[in-house]
Amino acid sequence: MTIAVPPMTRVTWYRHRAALAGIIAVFGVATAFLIFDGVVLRSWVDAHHIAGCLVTAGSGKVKCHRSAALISFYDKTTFRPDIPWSLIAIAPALALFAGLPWVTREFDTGSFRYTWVQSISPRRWLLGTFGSLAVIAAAAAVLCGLAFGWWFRLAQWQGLYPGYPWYWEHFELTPLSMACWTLLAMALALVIGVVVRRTVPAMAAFVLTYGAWLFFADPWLRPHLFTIGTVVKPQSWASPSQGLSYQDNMVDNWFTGPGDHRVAIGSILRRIPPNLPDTNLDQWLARNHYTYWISYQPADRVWIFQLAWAAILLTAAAACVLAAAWLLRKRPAQ
Amino acid sequence: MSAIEADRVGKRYRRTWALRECTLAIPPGQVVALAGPNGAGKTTLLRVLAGLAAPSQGQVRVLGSPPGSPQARDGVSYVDQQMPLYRSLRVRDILSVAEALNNRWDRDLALARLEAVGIPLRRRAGQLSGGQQAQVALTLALARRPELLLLDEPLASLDPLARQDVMGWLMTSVAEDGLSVVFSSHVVSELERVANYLVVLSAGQVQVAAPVDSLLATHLALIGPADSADSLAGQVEVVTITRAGRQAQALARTTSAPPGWSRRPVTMEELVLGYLKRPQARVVPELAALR
Repeated sequence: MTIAVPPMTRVTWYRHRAALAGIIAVFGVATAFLIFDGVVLRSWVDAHHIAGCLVTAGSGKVKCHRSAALISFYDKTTFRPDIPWSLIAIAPALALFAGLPWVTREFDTGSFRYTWVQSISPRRWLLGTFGSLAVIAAAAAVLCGLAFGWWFRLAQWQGLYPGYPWYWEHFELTPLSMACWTLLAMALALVIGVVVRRTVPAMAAFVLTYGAWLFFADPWLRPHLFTIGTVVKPQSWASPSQGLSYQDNMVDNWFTGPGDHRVAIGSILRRIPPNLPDTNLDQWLARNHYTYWISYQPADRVWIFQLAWAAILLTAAAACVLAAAWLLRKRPAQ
Repeated sequence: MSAIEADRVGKRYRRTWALRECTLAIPPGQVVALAGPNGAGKTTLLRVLAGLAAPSQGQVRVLGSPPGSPQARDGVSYVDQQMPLYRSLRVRDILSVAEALNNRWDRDLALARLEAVGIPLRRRAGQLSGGQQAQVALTLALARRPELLLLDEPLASLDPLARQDVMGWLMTSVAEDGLSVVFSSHVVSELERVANYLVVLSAGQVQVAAPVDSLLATHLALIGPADSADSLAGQVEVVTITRAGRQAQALARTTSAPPGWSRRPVTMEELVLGYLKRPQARVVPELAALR
């Protein structure tokens, strides 16, 4: 039985084997490292019989608080933020060195004057090559994301607030998010390659554009996304986590005074009697017709936001790909 | 159906017109010599015909379809003057890529041709000589079994023996498969032996477009006294005239020599050079007449 391989997949294999191998190698090395480090961590945990103390992410409870081995585990190393950072950097790095040059080198070398006069149209060539590279990259990213999730379940106990799903380390490095970021980076490289058509200037343009997107997406867009559809409720100021799961994501908090007008916390603090015990704060607020409010996202919504975030990233990626195809049609050759 | 039909085609790069008001209708099965000086627009015209560049004005059809359409892509092969190949790939991989990129592909023909010219399949394209790269590019173009072959300065990097070989190979394809070929070159002698249709481009415009036989039959080289040269224009249509001492030689569009002038047939090279010396002289039938 022979398997029919799409023509552009065959072309991509012949022409961009090195890029494909690079994509698989980089994600493969990252995955292998996570598996290796995860095995080391688990061996240590098993050897010291503290596996039962580390509950799976989700319960939010740490058993055996007084276990010396557990404390030692916490102190053994601290959580290494360089690992999530490195994983986040893989997608743009691959797009820069594998996802972009295949387009620009076609123009640099002039080989588009051969490629584009064959039976397969330039647009099919563009989308077929991009599709083949992007599918491989996304699949590798999913595997790496799975390995990260497995590693993170244990590693997060070292220096992080464990099991908290809204951290970027958790949120952006799930298999779904990693695949979407990879697709977006590859798509951005594609459109920049088609626009700039020269390798080095295109690489510079990609770094600037991707950086600008990160600057927009991470500190602004994602936090704003989390404010959509929040649960709002009055809360005890004395114990603000009362009634909340520690995995819930508190988005905002504020006070209202008489007439339900918002009141600045400073004005309340100035009015609180200096010797008022913390336990009496809520009664004092009630007496003075103040209410402390919080808005939050319940933990069980994290997957909805994962999907929404993935949809945003994929929409941006699709826009880049469509723009690249349109630009190629509008300005086919030089 | 014409192999190539262009109706007032123009191509502009920013403010510069590389091609203007080009009107052509070339029947199928012709070997077309596309001649003209550097910068005349030959490469631009070929790229428009190949679908690599969209015309800024006018309409073009190749094999009855717009350039770049699926039908045109299947039927037209183009070899750029820079012989673009995937330089990092081995020749055998280039063949595999070409096979995947095309609906029609004659692998046996490609292998036989490369073997005949001694190009090792394991060699990377970047390691081949210029002549070998040209042979590979021509092989790739012909193995697609096109109906129209567009060649931009295809012989420039070949030695005389290889040129003769390539020409022979191409002419065999023309004879056997009814292939139409457009050769561009500014070396007219290269095209003279094989072309049966001549297109001369000058400053982006078509100056001559006609079958070679008809051009040769309607043009003569006239030799006569230099002091009669001025009156010659009143008797026949003079394309160019040159004086050398007491003798003058004219390229004239006529079938007979006026009294006092001797005649001889012109060569295609003389015809091309004569028209290029006088850009305002034209032999371009209207498209309607060509159809």
